[in-house]
Amino acid sequence: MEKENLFKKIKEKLNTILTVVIFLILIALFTVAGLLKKDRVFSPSENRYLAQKPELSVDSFFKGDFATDYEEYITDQFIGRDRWIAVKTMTELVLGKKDINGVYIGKDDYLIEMQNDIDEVKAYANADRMVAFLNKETERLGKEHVSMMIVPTAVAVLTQKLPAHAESFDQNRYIEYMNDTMQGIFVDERTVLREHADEDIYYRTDHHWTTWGAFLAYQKWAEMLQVTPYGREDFEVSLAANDFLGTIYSKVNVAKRADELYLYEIKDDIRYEIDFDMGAKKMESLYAREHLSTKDKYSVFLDGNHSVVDIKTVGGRSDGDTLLIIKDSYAHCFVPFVANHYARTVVIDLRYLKMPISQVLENYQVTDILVLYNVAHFAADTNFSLLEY
Amino acid sequence: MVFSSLLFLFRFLPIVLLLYFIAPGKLKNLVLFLMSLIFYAWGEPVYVVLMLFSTVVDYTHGLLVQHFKDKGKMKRARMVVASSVVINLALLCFFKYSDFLINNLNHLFGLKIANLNLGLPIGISFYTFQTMSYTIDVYRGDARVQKNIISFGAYVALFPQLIAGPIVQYKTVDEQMNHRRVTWEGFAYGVQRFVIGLGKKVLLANNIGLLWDHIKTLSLENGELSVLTAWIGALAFAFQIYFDFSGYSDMAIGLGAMFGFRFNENFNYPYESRSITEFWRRWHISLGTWFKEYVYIPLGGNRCGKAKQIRNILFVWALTGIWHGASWNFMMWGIYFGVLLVVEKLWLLKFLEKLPGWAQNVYTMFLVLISWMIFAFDSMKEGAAYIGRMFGMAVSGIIDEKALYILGSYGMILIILMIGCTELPKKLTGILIGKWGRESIATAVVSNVLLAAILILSVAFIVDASYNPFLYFRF
Repeated sequence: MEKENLFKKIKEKLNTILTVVIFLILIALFTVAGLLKKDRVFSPSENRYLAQKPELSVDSFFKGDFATDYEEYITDQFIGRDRWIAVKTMTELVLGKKDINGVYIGKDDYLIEMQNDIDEVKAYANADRMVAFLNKETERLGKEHVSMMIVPTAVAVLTQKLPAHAESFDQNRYIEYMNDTMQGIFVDERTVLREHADEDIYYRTDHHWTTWGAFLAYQKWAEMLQVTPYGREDFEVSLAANDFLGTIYSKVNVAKRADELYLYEIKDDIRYEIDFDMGAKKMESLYAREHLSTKDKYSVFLDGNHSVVDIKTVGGRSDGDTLLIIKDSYAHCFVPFVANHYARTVVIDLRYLKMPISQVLENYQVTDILVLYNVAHFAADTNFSLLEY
Repeated sequence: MVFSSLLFLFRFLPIVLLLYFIAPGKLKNLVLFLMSLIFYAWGEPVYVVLMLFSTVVDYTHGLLVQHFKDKGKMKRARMVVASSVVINLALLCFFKYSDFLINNLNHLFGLKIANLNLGLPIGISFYTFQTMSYTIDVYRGDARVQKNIISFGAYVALFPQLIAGPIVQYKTVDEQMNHRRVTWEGFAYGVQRFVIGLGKKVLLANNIGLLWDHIKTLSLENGELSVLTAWIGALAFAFQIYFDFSGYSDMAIGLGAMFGFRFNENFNYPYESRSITEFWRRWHISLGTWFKEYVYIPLGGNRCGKAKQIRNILFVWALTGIWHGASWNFMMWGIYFGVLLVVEKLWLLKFLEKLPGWAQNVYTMFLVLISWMIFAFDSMKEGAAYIGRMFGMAVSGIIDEKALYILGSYGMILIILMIGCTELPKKLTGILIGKWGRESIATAVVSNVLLAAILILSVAFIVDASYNPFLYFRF
């Protein structure tokens, strides 16, 4: 009898008891799990160092720094961080949002960076700075030795894949502006990329173009410089990875399809001697395959970011010239094509090489220059003051 | 510290709950007091001194008021009340309005007085109003004097309503400060309110706030907005501030209930109002009540003739406006409502009543949306420009690509928000519970699965905390 009463009572109170118990368990669970979990130093998926436990001092406490740092610490180190972000993204998708964390959720499983926060004033100032530098160099080296390639990003090319009515920074006008001022030097890649917009010229989950996109651009570049490009049949094309989840994926942590990553290797007998960061590392292949087993697979191209990569090419179609490439990471998969046309290719990244350009030109006795960036990086770069001399 | 943070949910809250429920009865207020101070000191350690000062001052003032009242010296008691009001207002004005005053003096007389650049102590507008209510209530005999300074300190610093209200008048918790019991039902009710409030803030307000920020930035340049975008923007802000603010109030009421307190409601579906008069009975109720009881009625309220009543309404709403922040746009916002209230009182209400209900609601929301655009821009020039865009001035057209994109991306969220700010969800759950039975297993399972889902989704949104702003740093 008593047992039955108790049963009845529990049933009556079931709702209340469940609410209290579930709440307390959830709170306690994540608290305790968070305390027991080991802190991570680096997040490969976000590609950044995570905040570590701040040290408590009288000074940091009273300034309020400790509070800020500690909050950042527990947010960064929260258990299952990547999965929580995926849950958030999926909720937003269910709610019908067309963009999440600055990424358009495109058709055909494309994640496309919105890039609508580009500062126009800065963008055009950057263009003018680069134009001024290249004009000077054209006078010195000759028109046929200088080229400029500012590549539109996916948001401007894959317009068919964007959500309806999506807008972005007007890359067309921007490229038009540079094309007009740099006639005969600017390599306009818009048409060729648009013609191939249905093919995999950009990654679905990464902000770079694919090797195929770069190959198409290379054909256009060769046409402009009147050199004979290597054709598709001159390369051994191999699928190096089919599980590539790139930087855009990291912003949303949800992707329906991983990317395929292809390497193009020249069939001719061409050898390379590659020196990274002035003697820090040496390689004989333009592809650093060890990166294929990491998260950051795009680093397979030219071993990722370096301040200077100095490539000596033996064989190929060169007449002994030295090419300087001033670039961002879009160049990494482009260099394996272009390096076959020069005896020496010096690739510099102004973000890391904090050296005035005049010194670089002199050190390497540069005879040719290629400027290669994507529109978004080019428009936002903050290192072009190094180009003044 | 804010409620919608991992720090609060998974560090502070478990500790305070644990300590509170293992502490013996007499020590419970001490636990609340100390933990509230830590809550407040987090990130603002220096201003705790201010709060302790406020506590001691009002505690002694309360004792003195009672002392003089007991002796029949009402004049002295009144002077003590005046002293308490002056000290509280001085604190509030010094920290909140001195730079505003300096800037205006500089502007008016061409002076060059340097700004003090004091950081505004979080929640000062709330707790100074609460402590003032205490001495006044004691004087009026609406509340008993609190002899225990720990209990009084717990009232002043009580973390659930410390930083964003509701403004709890002392008389409403007088009894509860020393005698309260936590029941399973009370705690469960608290959990429900807290989780729903958290969801309103994190899932709804923050989300639509992103849209408002985007549109606000666009609006600063001519020709970037269409008329439709401008109205969507105003709507987005209206939803953001409602779900954010009422979410905070829900969380405060919920946390209070977990510790056995019963706070008054602060919002009552304000966007269902059919007049501005009604809107102010449903919006931020605790603030309206405070001004009514401690300013409007003492000024004579509506008992001294129409002219004085109009004066009182305008005065109270100018104060209400400036209470929201030291900037002219807030004053304007208050006066805007003051004028509307007077107009309604004098003749419009009678006319409105003849309209169908939906038309009354459209009328109200039209005026409320415009009011939010006065509220949302510190610069009155930008606010005026924005309102101009809502009526077609310097726009790209009636409708443009941006507006269509926004509708596509936020359409579903806007519909959810529209439904969410009405009583409909509550009525629907009422019907379902009625059908299944309050004590049925179906009710228990469904409601708890929903609650757990809201909690988990909220945590997911907080973890990706690229956007989790705190809106009340100016109050």
